[in-house]
Amino acid sequence: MGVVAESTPPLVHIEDVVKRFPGVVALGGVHLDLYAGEVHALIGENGAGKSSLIKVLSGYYTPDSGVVEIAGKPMHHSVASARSSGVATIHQERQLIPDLTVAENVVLPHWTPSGVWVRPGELQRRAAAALATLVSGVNLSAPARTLSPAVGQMVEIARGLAQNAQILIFDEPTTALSLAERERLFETIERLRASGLAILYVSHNLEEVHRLADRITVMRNGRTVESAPATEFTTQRMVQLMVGRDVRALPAVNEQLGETVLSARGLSRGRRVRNVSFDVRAGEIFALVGLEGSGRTEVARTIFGIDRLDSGEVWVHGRKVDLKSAASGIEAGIGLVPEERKLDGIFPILSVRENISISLLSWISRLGVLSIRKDRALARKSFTALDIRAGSTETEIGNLSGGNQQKVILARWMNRECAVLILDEPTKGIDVGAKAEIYVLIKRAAEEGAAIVLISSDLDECLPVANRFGVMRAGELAAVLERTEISKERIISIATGDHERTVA
Amino acid sequence: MKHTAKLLTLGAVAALTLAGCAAGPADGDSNEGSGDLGDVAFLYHTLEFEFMVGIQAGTEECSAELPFSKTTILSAQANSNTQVTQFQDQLAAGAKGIVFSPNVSAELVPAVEAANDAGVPVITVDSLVADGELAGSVTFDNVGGGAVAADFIAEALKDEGKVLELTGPQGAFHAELRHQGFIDQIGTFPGVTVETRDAHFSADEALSITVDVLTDDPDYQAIFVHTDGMLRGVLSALEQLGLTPGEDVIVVGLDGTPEALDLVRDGSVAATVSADPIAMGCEAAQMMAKVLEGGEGSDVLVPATLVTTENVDDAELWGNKPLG
Amino acid sequence: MTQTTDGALAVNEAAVTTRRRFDPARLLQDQGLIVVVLIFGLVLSLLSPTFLTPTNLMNLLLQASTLGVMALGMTFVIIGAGIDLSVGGIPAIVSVLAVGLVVRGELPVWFALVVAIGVGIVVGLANGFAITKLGIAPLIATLGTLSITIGLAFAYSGGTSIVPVPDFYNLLRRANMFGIPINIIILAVLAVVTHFVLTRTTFGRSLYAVGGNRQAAEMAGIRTNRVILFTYVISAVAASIAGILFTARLASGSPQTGIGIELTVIAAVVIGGTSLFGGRGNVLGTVLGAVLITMVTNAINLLGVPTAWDRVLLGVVIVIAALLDVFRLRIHERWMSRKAS
Repeated sequence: MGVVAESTPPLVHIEDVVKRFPGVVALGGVHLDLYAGEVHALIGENGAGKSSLIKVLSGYYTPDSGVVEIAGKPMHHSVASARSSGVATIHQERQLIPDLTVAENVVLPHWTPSGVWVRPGELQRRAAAALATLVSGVNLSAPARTLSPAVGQMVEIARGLAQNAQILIFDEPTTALSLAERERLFETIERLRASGLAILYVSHNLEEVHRLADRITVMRNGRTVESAPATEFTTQRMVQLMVGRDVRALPAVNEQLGETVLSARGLSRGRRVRNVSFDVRAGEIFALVGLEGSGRTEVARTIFGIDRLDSGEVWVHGRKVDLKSAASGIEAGIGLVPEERKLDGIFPILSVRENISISLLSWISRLGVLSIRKDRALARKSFTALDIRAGSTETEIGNLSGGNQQKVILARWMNRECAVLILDEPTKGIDVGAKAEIYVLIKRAAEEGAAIVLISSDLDECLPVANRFGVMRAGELAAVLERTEISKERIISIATGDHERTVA
Repeated sequence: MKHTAKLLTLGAVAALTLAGCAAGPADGDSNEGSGDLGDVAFLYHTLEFEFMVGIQAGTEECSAELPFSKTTILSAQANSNTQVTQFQDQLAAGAKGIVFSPNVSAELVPAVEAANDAGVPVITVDSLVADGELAGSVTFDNVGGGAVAADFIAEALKDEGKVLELTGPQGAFHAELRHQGFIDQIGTFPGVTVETRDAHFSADEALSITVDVLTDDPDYQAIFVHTDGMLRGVLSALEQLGLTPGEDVIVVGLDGTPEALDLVRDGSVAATVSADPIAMGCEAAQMMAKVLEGGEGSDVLVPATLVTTENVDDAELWGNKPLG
Repeated sequence: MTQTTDGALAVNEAAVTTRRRFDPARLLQDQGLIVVVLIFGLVLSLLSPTFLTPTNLMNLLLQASTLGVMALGMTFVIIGAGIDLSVGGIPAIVSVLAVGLVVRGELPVWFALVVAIGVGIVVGLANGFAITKLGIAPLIATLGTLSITIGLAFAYSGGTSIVPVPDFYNLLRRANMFGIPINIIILAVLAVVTHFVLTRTTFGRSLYAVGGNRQAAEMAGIRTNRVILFTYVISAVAASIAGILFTARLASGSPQTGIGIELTVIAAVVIGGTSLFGGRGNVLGTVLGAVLITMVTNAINLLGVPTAWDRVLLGVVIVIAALLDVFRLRIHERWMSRKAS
């Protein structure tokens, strides 16, 4: 950890910043001081205002009132001006232009340092220089789309350095990274800190915050709640400040298990799914864990029916499922909450009500004609059962927070009382408060007799709730472990292949 | 399963294409001739008008008797680019002569000049080109046609009244000449005024314009359309307005299509102006044969004939001849 | 709020709001087009005393009705994020068959009608099949059927119009209910049916979902291919009906029926608020879009606008309608912030 001399003035001074939008106050009085040579973590629930603050600092938003000073001078609120003042943002999602080369992505938009003509050699040299300190072995002439998310991230950091950034903002940088890549990123950040950059690190992951941060600012409801050296925070305290109340512990494991509901036998699909077999009983939560790319989502999609199996069978309640499409999987009583809400889950323009009933149209209609009364009743029931927070059932679902959107998708399947419910990273991108609520709902579904398959990359979350754990590696089910046999280390070692033992 | 689907579709498309070819006068036709005068291409800018179909019929009829090696007939579907391409393709394929009806005169000049450079004689039918060397031309006297219509209307109106003139697209060869002829001749009758509107040769537009203009001002005694294809639109419009053609308003067309002749017979259309497209097509083919044999072509202007109830059954009118 | 045993918070069911909050943006979208139509109409009435007369207004509606019928069918396709260019060719083949089979084939009128509409359905199925099963892009697939249908129409008719038409079409042209021409009645009925289908049936709801997010719809269990296929059949049937109406109106079975109309139909739908990206669309907007476009032609005819300017006028009107889309968002925000303070 670095030590910052607090007698030097902060590189970025934010005081009392307010930003309003029609109907909502995004920032209601934010204070934050960012010093050169420190990593300053910014934490808070979804909707706390972190991304709005980032947008103010990067010149995208103009605050309605308050002070924003960079190097002692008031900031001009434009993107170009922020950039020339030395602010660079590394976003959660990659901002590379896929068909331009790596070198071009590093130097953009400054194709030439001056003048009109682009000299490729000079461009490559500038890009190589910027990239040299960060990552090696990258083909500068390859199109950016060939890069892995981790390397792409390095390219964006290089872009910032090439523009002489003094202030680097990282927005949830580790969501798409593997453990090893995460480590490399942390090392890079530590080096950047040592070279005098001011780093604002926004993350949901409190472990990372512990590891990296010199100081921490907690935001809640658009305001700064607390800003202090990292040593003054415990995880408990951070969560308390973020949520504003005591967060309930995750629910305990369900002990009452029934008969076998789901039987997967010999599932195979190319190289991604290789001869996977497992059973899940009613009321049981079967966690499917493993590294990214180990095939968990692929297994889920084949059981659901949306991807075709090369071979293998799926049985629900003793009946073989004819897996032609998602529709046939749903008919058989299988539900899938997909990993990518925006891509595969919600209908952004439609209302919450319509998003809930979309899987149940035949239940709320007769001869093809919808009963709006039944539709509304269903929505009301779902709102109360899952505590969905939205202005009304008619609100456009795009306006809801990630957590509430997830509840809507969950509602789809819980209304159908699925025999089998598969959840793929259900708490991804959801703030701490809502995560607990999701797990309560999952447990409720289990108690009501569903067989749950829970795909999760967050071992801390699923360890306490799951009955059994299937560890996948490279498309195969490497091991199935009971609660009594598990530990994080054991799972990780099986997932990475260090350890070849399988359990009887 | 996907493969079967694709095969079925290919089969269906093939069947449809064959059906299209077999069903009637095609947009592309190639016939082996009886002699050795060389390959001749007949490029029509469009076959979407009965008149042009008439020209094609005339061409085919007469070409069969002429000693061409091969005749190719193509339609450019009213697209200048397509026509230029057809020109180039035919020149490349070794055509010895080209007869064509230009789509838009100015746009086809380069094509004609290319043929000139290649030493291939070019004859136009139906209209002219602005530049380039032509071995000859066979056109209808559009100006005269307009004038004939004007005379008839002025007489019918007894020199007093208002006429609605529905033209073809601004800048189109026929439309401009017919309008010119009509307006100039009407100008000699001081008691008759003309309101001119562009209906793009379309029956639908003729309908819409007639309805709106006459709703605005019912005081029209005659309607003149630049092509018989628009007649149905005008008649439907009059019906919608509650007016009787022939009594409240007289309707005059131009082209002399079989449809127009029928309408003259039943009294809804007072007159039309006929040119003989079959003769034109034949004349063009014969002129090309003469040129290829070493003779000279010329500019033939086919005269306009007024058709009224008096001469509507004349067997010489092309509208009364079957179109093969 | 009370706490239940598992610790989750439960909300009193009755307290959940189900009534739609008054959404001025939606209202302004439809009303916005009404505003454009009204303003345009106002300007026209000042420039031409004939415009507001009942006769002219009736003519206007009559002229707009065939475009409107086709636009209603197209609305389904565009909500599903597709496009159908073949509507520029279906009226042609329908028209020549509907007349030709009677005049040349000496078959009864009802039979000809059935065959003609049947051909339309086949074209729609072909479009749908090409797009869903073969994966051909809608623009390309329907461009192909556009060309094929026009070609077949010309081939069958020999390039000329088939006249005179059987008396049925003359009767159809003159038909009316309470003095309102039947075309307008047909448009009104189809508009009501379309609205019902879009808002009150499982098919309509599924369509909005498929158009809004195809992948999510598939994951939610909707048979997306079937839905899309159906939209193309609907569009083709609408174009067939329009073809019959055109035939009656112009009293001829012509292979030129409706040629070039496809882009106008799409324009009417899009002006009306249906997004080309899918997932959004409504009946009132489509009908108003068709009316607005027809008003432009009406204006040209009444005012004697020189030919070259008619396209300019249409373009200006379209741009204004599009600008309104941008405006409505701003007005929505201003309304919302007035509520917040």
